[in-house]
Amino acid sequence: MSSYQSGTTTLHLILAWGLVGIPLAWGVIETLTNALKLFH
Amino acid sequence: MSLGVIYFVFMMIGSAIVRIPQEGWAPAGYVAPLQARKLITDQHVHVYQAVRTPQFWLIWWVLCLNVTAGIGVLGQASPMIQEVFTGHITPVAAAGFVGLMSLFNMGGRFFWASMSDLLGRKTTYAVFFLLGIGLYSLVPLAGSIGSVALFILCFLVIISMYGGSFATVPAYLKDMFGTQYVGAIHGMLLTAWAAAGIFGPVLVNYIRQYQVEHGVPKAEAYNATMYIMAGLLVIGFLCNIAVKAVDQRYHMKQGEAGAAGLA
Repeated sequence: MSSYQSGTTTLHLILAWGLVGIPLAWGVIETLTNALKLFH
Repeated sequence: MSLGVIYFVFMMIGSAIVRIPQEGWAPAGYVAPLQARKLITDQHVHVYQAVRTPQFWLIWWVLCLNVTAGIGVLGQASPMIQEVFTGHITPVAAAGFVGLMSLFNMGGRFFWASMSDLLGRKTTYAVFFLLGIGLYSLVPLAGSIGSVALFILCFLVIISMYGGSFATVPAYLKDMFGTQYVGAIHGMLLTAWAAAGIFGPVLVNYIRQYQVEHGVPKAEAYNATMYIMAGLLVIGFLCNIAVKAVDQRYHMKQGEAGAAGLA
C-alpha cells in the first residue's frame, strides 16, 4: 500500500458530501412523500 | 433550462475536483486478495484491442439486454400500472410508483455494485438475469390476480437490477480489461445503453399497441411484452455465461503500458 497522503481535509470532505448529500436527501424525502400516495 | 443549469454546475464542480489517485494508492486498511481470481486480470488491454475481443461484445449484449428490459418498463411505468389496475390506481398514485422506482433504481446501484464485490461480476449478472426472468414472468400473474403489491414488488426489484447493471459494468470491464483504458472502453460500451434506449421503449409500446389493436384488453396488453422481456434476459444470461478471461494475446506489453503512462 502506498504511503501517499492526500491533501483532503475534513472540511473538504464535509463540503463534498454535503454538496451531494443534501440535495439527494431532499430528493429522496420528496420522492418518498409522493410515493406514499400509492398506498392511500 | 433549470435542470440544464443544475447539471452544468454539478458537472463543472465534479470535473474541477476529481483527481486520479497516485499509482499504487489504496484506501487505508485495504488488503489485496491473496489468491488471484481467474476473471480478474492484473494486465491491461488497449481500448482498440478490447473492442476486438469477444468479451467486449458479450458484455455489450449483457448490458444492452438487461437495460432494454429495464428501460422499457421505466418509460411506461405510469400508464402501465394505471391500465393493468384500471380504476384502482390513480394518476397521482402512478406518479408515486414512478418515484418509488427511481429510488430503487438509485439504491440498486449501491446495493448490487457492492454485492458484486462479494459475488463477483459474472455471478451478479447471472443473478440479474435469472431473477429478472422470474420477475418478468410473474408480472402477468400479478395483473391477473389483481395484486398491486406483487406487481409493484416485481418492478421495484427489476428496476433495482437495472440500476445495478449500470453500476456494476465498469467493475466488470476493469476485471476483464484492466484499469488503463477502462474509461474509454466503458464509453464505447455505453453504446449498448443507447441501443437499449431504442429497443426497450419500442418493444413495450409497439407490442402493446399491436395487442390492443387485435382486441386484447388493455389490462392484459403488456403480458406478451413481459414474456418477451423474460426471453431477452435468457439470451443475456447465455451471453454472460459465455464470458471468459481475455486471451493474453490482447494484453498490453510491459513497454506499451509504460509508454501509455503506467509505472
